[in-house]
Amino acid sequence: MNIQIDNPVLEVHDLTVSYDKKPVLWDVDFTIPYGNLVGIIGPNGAGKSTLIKAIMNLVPKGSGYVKLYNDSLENVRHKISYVPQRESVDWDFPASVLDVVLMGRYGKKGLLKSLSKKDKEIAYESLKRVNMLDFANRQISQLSGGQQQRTFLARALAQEADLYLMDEPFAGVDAATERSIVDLLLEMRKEGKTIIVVHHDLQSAIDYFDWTLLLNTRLVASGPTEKVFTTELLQETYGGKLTLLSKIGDLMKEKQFPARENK
Amino acid sequence: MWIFEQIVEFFSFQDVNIRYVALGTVLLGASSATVGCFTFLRKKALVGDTIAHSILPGICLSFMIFETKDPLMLLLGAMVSGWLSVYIVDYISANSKIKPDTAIGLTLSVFFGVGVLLLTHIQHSGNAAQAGLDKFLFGKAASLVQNDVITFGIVSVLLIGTIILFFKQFSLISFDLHFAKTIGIPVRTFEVILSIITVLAVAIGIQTVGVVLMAAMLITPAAAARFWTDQLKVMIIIAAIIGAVSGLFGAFISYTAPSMPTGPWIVVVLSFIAIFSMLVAPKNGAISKNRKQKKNQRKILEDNIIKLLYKLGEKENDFFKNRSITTLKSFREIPEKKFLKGLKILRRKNQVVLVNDLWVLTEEGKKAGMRIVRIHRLWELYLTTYLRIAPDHVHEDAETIEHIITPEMELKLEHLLNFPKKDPHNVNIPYKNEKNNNE
Repeated sequence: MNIQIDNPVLEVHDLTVSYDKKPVLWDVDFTIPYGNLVGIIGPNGAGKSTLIKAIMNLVPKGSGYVKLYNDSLENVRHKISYVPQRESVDWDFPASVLDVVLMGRYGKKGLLKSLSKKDKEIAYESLKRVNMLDFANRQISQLSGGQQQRTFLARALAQEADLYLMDEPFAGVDAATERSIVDLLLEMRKEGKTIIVVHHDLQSAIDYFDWTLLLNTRLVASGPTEKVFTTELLQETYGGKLTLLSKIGDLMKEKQFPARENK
Repeated sequence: MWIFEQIVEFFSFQDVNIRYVALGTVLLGASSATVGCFTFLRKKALVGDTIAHSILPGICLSFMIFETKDPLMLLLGAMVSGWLSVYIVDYISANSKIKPDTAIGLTLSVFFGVGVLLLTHIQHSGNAAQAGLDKFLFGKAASLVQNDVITFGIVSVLLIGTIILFFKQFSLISFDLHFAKTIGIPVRTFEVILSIITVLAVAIGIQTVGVVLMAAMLITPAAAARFWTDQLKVMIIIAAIIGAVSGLFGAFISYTAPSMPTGPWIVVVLSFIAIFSMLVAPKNGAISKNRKQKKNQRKILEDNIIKLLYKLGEKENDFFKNRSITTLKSFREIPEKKFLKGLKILRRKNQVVLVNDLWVLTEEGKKAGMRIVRIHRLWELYLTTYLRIAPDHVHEDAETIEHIITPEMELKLEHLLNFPKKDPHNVNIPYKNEKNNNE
């Protein structure tokens, strides 16, 4: 099942991404409607993180294109916020929580302007929304996993974007923090934001998301969550990789074969 | 005193030459340390070492081609080969199965090998202008002439200026490269700028420090500064000061002992500062960790003694009875010397008094003892209630936790458990305001 819609906030067209010539995403093609809380679900190694990295142009595409707000990323950057995985940075970096959140303002301010009082107010407001106001001056090396995650979310909020792409925001946080993050996401959706979340827990997915992508190197389904969550589709997603597909992938790596003839 | 005269002569900066060299080395030390902070934070310390070693062939080649020791020309050659080495390391790691550490090892040794080869060739060629090129191996600050100092000084100021100008961008790409990319920072451009200023910082230092040890000028000040602060700006300033001080010291050594190579001396000073920082720095240093341990031990000793006195009072229903050290010792395994030390601390705190060689609890001491006992029993109850631990398993845990619980936590614990009367072993939990009920 792949429900395509008109006037999407995000369109991914025939996207193939390879690491060392081995495709980790095969011809992924879908559209996402405005104002939804969207889950990208799939087993480990399904290419979930790679998908949002490809959308943000952080990994090279083998084929296909991505359109955001019917435009290319370059032109709409300021409307989009990316929240990387918590583990992707070194939390021993000499910075305070406020320093990190203020980084969210750099995109809006341009390169050489200094941050204003208003930027600071926005940063504090963002910290308040994730319940981290008391930690503003805390060194980031002293944060727990959940606090690190909330710091990243505050930075994203400070960006004042319309579309959010979050890589595993629930990984390694306790149940209470997960609940508060979900509440925040619901609140953001109410404000008309679109939020796309990489998530690995099937159980909670059905409660959280309006729209779900099922992914396992290829797109298994994309549509409203209640339509996508069928036993058949879930089995297809979690039932392992397609044997022939992964064999061809291995062969392409071995022969260093390009994803498209002219690449 | 000869050494004293030397110090006065050098640090009065009367001699024009001394003034130049001192200024040059200070600028050099500060700028390479500033640039090095980002090399350090991006975990590229070994890349700095590669650049330093790879600069040698560039210098030799540009000397062979232009037959001059003009610092600008040498800098040009250094830039080219230093930059090439960075490019090669990146290329090998990105396009082959070879991991970055191996790529670094390979590149560094090839470039340095070729460099030494060329240097030897130049020295045997009998070129009159070659004298002094060998200083590039281990450095000689005193060999700086006015022309060098002006060139290197300008480059140093440029380096520091670049860091100040692009501070935000550099700190962002050092902390979170992907995020930086997504907000539209031309990450690749700034990485290239960082590489260029790293190469430049190394290149201007070779005459003072030498290629072999130049990496230390980049990395060691940053590593030492990190111990003193958690703020990036402060860290850079501290690193710059450390760099400047060791540079100045190197210049001084080079003046007083002209036969000594400067580089190793600078590195010795730098390393000394780094080790000192590691040991002494307030939050992260080894000495402060040790002090904390000692403080903990003392607190445990105090608490245990006052608790013992309270519990004896509780058992015999007489809190203010005189007790000899021998009696006390029979209840708790603490060496006498330590026991007496603890009692003396408690006496200073007015929690016990000594009467005719016998120890007596004061009202104050009784309160303190009661608090420890209360926390101990509350914690036991907390463990059995909230962690479902069997009552016969909770004592050991409570023995430790009783020393660390703060008054705020104590209050929370009391409210959480709703001021219980009995602990899991059915023993009374004592409270301050219930004094009269208990007695």
